[in-house]
Amino acid sequence: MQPPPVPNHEPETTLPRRTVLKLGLSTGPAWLTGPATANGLLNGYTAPFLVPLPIIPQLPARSLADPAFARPPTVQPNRAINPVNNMPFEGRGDAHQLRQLNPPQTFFAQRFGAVPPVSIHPGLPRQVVFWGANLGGANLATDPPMTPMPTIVSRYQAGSNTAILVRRFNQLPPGAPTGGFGKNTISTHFHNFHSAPDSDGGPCDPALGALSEDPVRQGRFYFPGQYYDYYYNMKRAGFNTPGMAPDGDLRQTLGTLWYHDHREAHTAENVYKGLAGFHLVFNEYDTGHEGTGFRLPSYPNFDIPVAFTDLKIDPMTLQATLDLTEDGGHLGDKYLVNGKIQPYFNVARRRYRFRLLNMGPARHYQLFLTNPDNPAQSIPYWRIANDGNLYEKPLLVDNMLMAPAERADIILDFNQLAAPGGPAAGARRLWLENRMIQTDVRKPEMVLDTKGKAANVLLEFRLGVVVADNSRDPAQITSFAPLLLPPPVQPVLTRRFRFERGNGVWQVNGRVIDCTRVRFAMKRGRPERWILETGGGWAHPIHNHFVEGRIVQRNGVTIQPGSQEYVRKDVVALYPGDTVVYDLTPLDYVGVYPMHCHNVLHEDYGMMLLFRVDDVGDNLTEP
Amino acid sequence: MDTRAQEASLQRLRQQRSPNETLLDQHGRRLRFYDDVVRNHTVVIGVTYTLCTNSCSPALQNLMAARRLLGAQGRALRFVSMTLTPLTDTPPVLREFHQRQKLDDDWLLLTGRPQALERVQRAMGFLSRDPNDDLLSHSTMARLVDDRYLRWTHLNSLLSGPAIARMIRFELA
Repeated sequence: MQPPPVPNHEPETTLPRRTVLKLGLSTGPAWLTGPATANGLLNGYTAPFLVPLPIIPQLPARSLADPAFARPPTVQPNRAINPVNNMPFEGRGDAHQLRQLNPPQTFFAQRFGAVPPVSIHPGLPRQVVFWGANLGGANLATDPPMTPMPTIVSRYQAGSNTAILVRRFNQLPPGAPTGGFGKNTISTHFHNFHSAPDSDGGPCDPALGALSEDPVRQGRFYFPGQYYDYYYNMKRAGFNTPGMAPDGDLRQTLGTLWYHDHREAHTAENVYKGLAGFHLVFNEYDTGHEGTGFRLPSYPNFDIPVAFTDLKIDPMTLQATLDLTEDGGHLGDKYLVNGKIQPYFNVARRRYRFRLLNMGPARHYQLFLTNPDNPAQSIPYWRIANDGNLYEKPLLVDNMLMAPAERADIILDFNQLAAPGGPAAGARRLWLENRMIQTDVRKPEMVLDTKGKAANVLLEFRLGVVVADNSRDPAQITSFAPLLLPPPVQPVLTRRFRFERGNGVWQVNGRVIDCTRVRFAMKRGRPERWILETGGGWAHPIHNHFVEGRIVQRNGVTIQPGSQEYVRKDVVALYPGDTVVYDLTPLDYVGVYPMHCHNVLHEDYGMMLLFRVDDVGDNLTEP
Repeated sequence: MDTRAQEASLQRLRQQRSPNETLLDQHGRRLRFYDDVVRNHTVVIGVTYTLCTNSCSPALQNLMAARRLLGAQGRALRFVSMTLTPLTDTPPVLREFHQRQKLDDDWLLLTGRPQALERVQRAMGFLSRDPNDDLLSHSTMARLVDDRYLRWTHLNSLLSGPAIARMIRFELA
């Protein structure tokens, strides 16, 4: 959906007055009104910009001699019984598909566990409710779990084998979960990577046959005391498709991805509890180094992953809380950015790449850059990617609408922006602010709040000195060729999916998720067109695993070059009444994958289905 | 936050999700909802009403089928259905409904003062939060609550018995 137009004159709050009174706040987070909140709580207030933005550590590679790999990572899962807990050593139920084509070269380990009490803001007690993963060390006391989880970095390299394997150990605590939410049996999804089902990290898989009926041996989620080897070939889609190169199709290159928990019926709890992290994929052109390729700002110094979510703080415990009885969604009252409430970030006057991730669970963001000391300035910025896919060339935008699970790569040139004559001339600080008003868990208002409110800010940039900058000015980048959008393909089959409420639960085409049923089959290599629509007054960001598609039309209007949606997408945001035409073609792997709403409460409560990719397919038009 | 404070906050959460209202079962016995129904048990709880003509009967039958498939594990679970129309669903009416639906002997049907029932049903997330909906706009999910470990989730009661049984096994594994 195109963002709503930005009015020339800033609107006053547009919420009906009765709503304002009922909520006891004007708009957005409840602490917007500061200490004098409706219930008189003083201790829930958190002043913004007190702590620096944490830079998420990168997960180090490990040698196979590391204790983490005492049991070698094999193509077949290690289903030998561990005498300590009487369960298979590994939770995985099936062999790594096509691993012989690109055996893993680089090995990573992560240990999932409780995050030690952690400060998210000086005004709140240390938080005890989070789970995360560590850097792979065997001792959680010296290498403690963190959230966001460490950033995984890997690379496409045509002509080379850059495949990786990530061994994930579940060392989450037993018993009642802290805060009363979280499920300690987990499945780790690599969001939008082109993985076989064995490493996709889905919720369940009836293709595993009898195995899929046994809770201990079902083969998708893993228990405390088990590990799971996830294999990623680091090849673009097409690598196993007749007529395509063994490196796959360059135009299917992915960049800013993330990994997160996907436990059946508990995804919202587990992601909110901290089980999410970035996975960045560089390539021959987007190299991670500003001296080569497209010359985008260098990782990690000037290429910064930024993950945001909104926490609700329980006024009794002052701990983050999640209402498990609300199936519509969740809205928090604190913006948490890389694990801190409303941090600041000291930047040099040069170009930076920020990789923004809306971790959900349910809030939609419309992000602007604002000079708080001169809010009248209108400050455009460069957006270069959507859901990890580079645009055909950088787009100059003045705002972005981001639904849950969507990513946006942007380039901010703090030198140009703040220079005399620049759009933010004279600025010493800039705010990345969310002006979308959302008071209903199920949908945003599609109305903008006024500019320059501290309460709406995710991150404050504090501009420092001018430093060397070898990156290229996005204005000079006329094309990201050869990483271009594949040409449209005529679909052979059209299917229709309604995302709706029925029988008091969330459904797709009138039914809730049934992990024992596969609803339809896509034929490998056959292009399909999906019509995604929502009735009712709800927003549903739709995500399907494995097959990335392209939005062709939204509400009858063809998506044109220059649109922020003119790009491959793995999340299709549906707003009330929307109908979206989405084209996609499955390649390479076969197996079972889910499609679901990425308002993860909706997903957990039923708005998900399973589909299969095989060499037969079916022609069900409303599966 | 020390361990004792954490345990206290979890205990508060248990009662917040399962308010300790006094209700009546089909035999007219007074039961405190948290103390007598949920506490220290693993419970499957749904809502129904005896004049419901669409989803309620299939939902009950699916849950019963799931329970049978679970064998001993199913028998150890406590199954509970709360009425949405307490003014007409008195204990004798519930008793007749119990027989008509051929529910297991130990299957609890709960009624009581409308305010008490509504409070429990709201706290558990059975009732629509849309102000345009009436009190019969209920969810067809059932709650699966394992009070001791605070395992708290939902079952989609319009799925088949085998699918519900699978989900219960997976949740309690």
